[in-house]
Amino acid sequence: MALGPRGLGLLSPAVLSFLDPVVPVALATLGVLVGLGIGLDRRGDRRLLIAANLESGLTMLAVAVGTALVAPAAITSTTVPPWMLALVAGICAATSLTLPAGTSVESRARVLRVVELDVLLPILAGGLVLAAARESSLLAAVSLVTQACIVTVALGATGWLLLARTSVDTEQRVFAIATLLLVGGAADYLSLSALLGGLVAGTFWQSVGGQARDCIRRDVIYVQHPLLVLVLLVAGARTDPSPTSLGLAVAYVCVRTAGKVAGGLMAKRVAGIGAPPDLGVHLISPGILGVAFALNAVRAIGSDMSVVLTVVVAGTIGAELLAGLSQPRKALE
Amino acid sequence: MRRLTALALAVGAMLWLRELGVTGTVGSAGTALALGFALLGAWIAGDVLRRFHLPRLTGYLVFGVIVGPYLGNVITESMAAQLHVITGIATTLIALIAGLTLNLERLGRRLVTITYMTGATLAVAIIGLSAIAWIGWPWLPVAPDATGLARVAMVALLVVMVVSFSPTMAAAVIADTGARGRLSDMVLAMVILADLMLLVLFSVCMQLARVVFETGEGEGIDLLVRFAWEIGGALAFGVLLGALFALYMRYIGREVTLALLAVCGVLSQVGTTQQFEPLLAAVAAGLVIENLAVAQGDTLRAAVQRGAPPVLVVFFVAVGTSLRLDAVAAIGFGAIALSAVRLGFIRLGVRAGVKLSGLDEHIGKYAWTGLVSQAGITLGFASVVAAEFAGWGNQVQLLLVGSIAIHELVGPILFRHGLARAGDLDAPVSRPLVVVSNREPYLHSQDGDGRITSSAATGGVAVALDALMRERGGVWIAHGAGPADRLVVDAADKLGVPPESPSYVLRRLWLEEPTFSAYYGGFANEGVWPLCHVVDVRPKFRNEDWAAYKDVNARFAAAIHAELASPDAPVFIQDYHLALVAPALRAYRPEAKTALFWHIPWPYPDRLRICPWRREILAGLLANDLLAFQLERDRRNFLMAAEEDLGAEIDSEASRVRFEGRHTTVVSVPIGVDYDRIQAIAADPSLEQEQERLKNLLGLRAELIGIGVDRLDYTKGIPERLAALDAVMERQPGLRGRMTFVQIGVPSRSELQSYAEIEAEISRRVAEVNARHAVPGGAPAICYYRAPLTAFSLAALYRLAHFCVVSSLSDGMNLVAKEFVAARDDEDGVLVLSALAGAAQELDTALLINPYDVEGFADTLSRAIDMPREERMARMRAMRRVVAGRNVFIWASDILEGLESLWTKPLHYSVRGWEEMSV
Repeated sequence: MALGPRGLGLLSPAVLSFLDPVVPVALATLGVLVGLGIGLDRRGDRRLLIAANLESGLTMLAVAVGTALVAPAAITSTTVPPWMLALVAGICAATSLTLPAGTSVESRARVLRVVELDVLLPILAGGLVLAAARESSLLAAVSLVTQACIVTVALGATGWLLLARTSVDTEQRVFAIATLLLVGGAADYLSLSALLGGLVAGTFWQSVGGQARDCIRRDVIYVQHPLLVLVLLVAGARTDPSPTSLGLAVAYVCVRTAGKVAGGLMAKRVAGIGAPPDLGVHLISPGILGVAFALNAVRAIGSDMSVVLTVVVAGTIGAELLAGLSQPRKALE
Repeated sequence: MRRLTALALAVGAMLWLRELGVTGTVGSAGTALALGFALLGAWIAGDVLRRFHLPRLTGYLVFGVIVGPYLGNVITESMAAQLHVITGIATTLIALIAGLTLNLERLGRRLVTITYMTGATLAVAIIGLSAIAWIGWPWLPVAPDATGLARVAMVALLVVMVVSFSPTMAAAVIADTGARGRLSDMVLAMVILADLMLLVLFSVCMQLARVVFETGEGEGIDLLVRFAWEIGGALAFGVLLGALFALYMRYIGREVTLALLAVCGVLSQVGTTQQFEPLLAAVAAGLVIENLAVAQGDTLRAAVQRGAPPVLVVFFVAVGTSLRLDAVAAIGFGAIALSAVRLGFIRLGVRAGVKLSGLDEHIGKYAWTGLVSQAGITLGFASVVAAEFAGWGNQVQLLLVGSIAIHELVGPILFRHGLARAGDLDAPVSRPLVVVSNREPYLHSQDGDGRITSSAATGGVAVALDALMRERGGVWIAHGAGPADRLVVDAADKLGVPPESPSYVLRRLWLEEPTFSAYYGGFANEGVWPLCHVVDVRPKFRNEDWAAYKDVNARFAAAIHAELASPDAPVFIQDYHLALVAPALRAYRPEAKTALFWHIPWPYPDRLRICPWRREILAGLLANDLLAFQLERDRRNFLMAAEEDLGAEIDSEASRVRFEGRHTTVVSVPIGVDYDRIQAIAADPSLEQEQERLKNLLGLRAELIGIGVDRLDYTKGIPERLAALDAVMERQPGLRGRMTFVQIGVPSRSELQSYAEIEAEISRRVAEVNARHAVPGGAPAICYYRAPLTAFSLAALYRLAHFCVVSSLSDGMNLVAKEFVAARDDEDGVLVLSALAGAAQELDTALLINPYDVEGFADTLSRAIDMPREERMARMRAMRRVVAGRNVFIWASDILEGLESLWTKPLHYSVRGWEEMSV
């Protein structure tokens, strides 16, 4: 935000437009990371998957309803329908990727797994919502997403065919980068969710396994931090803070926190033994996938979604502060 | 087939996406898709062409043309336009790589000759081509109507681009052919330097063209000031950015690839917005990075190898997508004519350069063949011109793409031919070698009748080096220690050896007393030896010993200077006695190429600090070009010591040390034995007779025999071994009279107190053990034989033994362990080996012991005695594979080839691994 056009101006519109093509690739890479990390074969994963979806679904619903109630009155400078704004905000609020410290090893492992799994529903929902923004009917949107997923699997298979047999380091790297560019680029070209594209590709590589998966994993891990930084920089620079958006952000944090705490309570019952009693508190920390999805929405739908991006970015900072405040108190207890 | 299937899948996905796509989305939508498709497809296309021995770059361009908007339209016009996003980064990256190839230190003394050659070639080619281009301008398919200053600017730009070369194409041909010699070295240096000069010239010409075509109203002083700002500003900005990046590499060093690409992005963007010439700034940055961040050289190269190929491949495809086939065809004749004229002037220029620089005519005659290829740099120039001067710039790009295609195909063929004619492809002729050691390979003595006899050294290293010298010829300089040595040398203290068929020269150096004792017994063996071996013997450092050590090392250096006929001859120095030879030699011969092998362990830095002259020793060793240790542990210890005690700059990845402006490569090369020779002895039918003779000589009548063969040295752990044997006999009284352990002990350095003490202790302990476990009429527990045995006798003894014990308390390698294994072609016998001996690092299927743990040692001996035959054979088989695969000749050639490659391909090192980038 400080470096962006409304701050120091170092990230000027020209520089941002230069970085724009990289954003969908960064988002797809995040999706691939999630896909590679899924592997639902661990003990108790199904229960945790249900718990995570319950928790993220409840948060999504709470924030979407809250936004839908406020949006028509507060957000007037956009042509995007309020229900779309509400759904995107809800999806952005539903994920949490950071892990609070200070829990027992067992609890920590289960919390981590819930955090890993609670991104699935928002990514899937996000894919449909962005397709719905492009198409005239829900059926057409579903059809588009299905076709896009098939194309992504074909691109994933291309990468797999090339990477499974090559042993030259440079060649492996070139093929891995090319495949990630194709996956991210395909979603961008169709104005769909790059996160979903990445998730589909990552799941495909995870399921076929072997050298292709290892090469992709190695290169994705190598670039993950710089790409995360890039996503956050671009997201920050693209925000347009105003009293309205900051006010909305406060409401966003409150509703999200309530949704997470309530969702955590429900998830705790489903997850069973091993989940900490205050699971919801651990999920307040928002992570960055929400910001990534908001950026994805701006990229796919257009600058009309900037207001949601601003709310999500400010809300993420607020929620992170709140999470930070809640942890020391918990540690003292 | 798999790749083509993948490509077909990708093309299918692209077409489907085109069907699904929407119009009116964000302008840059499709950029990432186009980038990914271009990268993937072009790489496969390049690979296919490479299989037909055609350049990869052609594959990239052809792929771009085929899928581009003018032919296949898989990449649409808008997508193709998006691909050009990468052009700025790619061209600055190309210029940066050009800067990175110029290491001033590597060019070194040849810089003057190379500069003359390059300067003359460029001058003649540029002047000649300019004249032809000026005269023939109306017929060139660029802008026939241009006149005056506009024509001058166009001609200048065109000529600079037409002349340019390709360093990586030259490097690729050299790598492919394995060429070694002066022509390959010269051509590589020339193309690197020439492209740097051309980059500067191109920047100047671009500024001129900008002035002429964009702001023609500029005049006089203003024009000059602007010109100076653009050139000077670019250089200053490049230097600043290069220095910052060098500091980043040195102090942060993370994600260097991304940082490098970011630097290119900054150079491209900021350079353009601030009116700096980005290419010039990039070259300056590259030069600064390469010559400032020397120690991080390999990290940088790895970063370039990681990041550059995707960017450059996409750039080449982008150029391909902008080409219209019909236009290329129309311009074909012009391109052929241009190539022919270029070739003619380059030949003329090289001829002038040879005369000017005084270069060997034979080499200079073929240098032009290496200057024909063109690739990425030329294409980079062309795309910059096309982007900035639409219209005639595009015509120039077309013309150059045509000529690049011709030069790419013809260049490598011509260069191969040139290398062959210059003799660079011939099998390398071994240079005569200079070996320097304290001990000589042949000693002469006189018998009672006054007859002089010679005896060859029997140690594994001496035998291997002798064989190497027989093959290569040269001089071996060593201390003449034989009683009749002086009687057989000529006036220059030399003689031909081996005596039966002399094939090299042995130069003897006479070291008188008390200097010899102070140097050898004092500093080397009472100081350095215990310093480097972790045993309970205090190193003794005396000023007079140190003075003698320096004096003797200086005398060895003077002898090398006298014997070094050719500056190319490698000098191979042996061991810790001669640590200061290299710096003394540098005073006479700064250009000498030396390698030193340190046979004993190198201590941890804390222990090294015991030595008051450690810094001098470290600095002395770093005066060598190559320094080799037995083990990785020793190499690491040395690097730590060099950094901590000397503050030398360490490049850990390349294992190079930079100290006082010199580079030393530090490696670990474990020594082996002469496996084949031992095999031959083992297969000798008379070996059985020798075994009978030894049985009689040593009185061996036990059914179970163990052996130990050592110099009588406190590092060998002989008392510990005797204690373990004592414990075994104590535990298993049934072994008394049934088992004899043969200890061969060769007296060594007996004049030193520590050695005299250990000899006395061993004799006493042997007597005690024998007394304690004596059985009337039975075999003795220990058979102690204090004399050296010949290699033949040793092999016979090894094959008699059921087990062999090496129990060193600290040891560089220990060749007895490997000799025992080599001699056992029956795959029987157990090796009990100290984990503190270097050999344990390789022979991990031996029974490893800690000699300080006597009880554990005794347990292991019991296990060796009782080991079933199957296990013995399995272990021995595994050890024999190791020993056979690393014989002493491989050791010697590894070191010497390592040494020679340091200077036969110094410039190839600069562009090593970048051949695939087609720059």
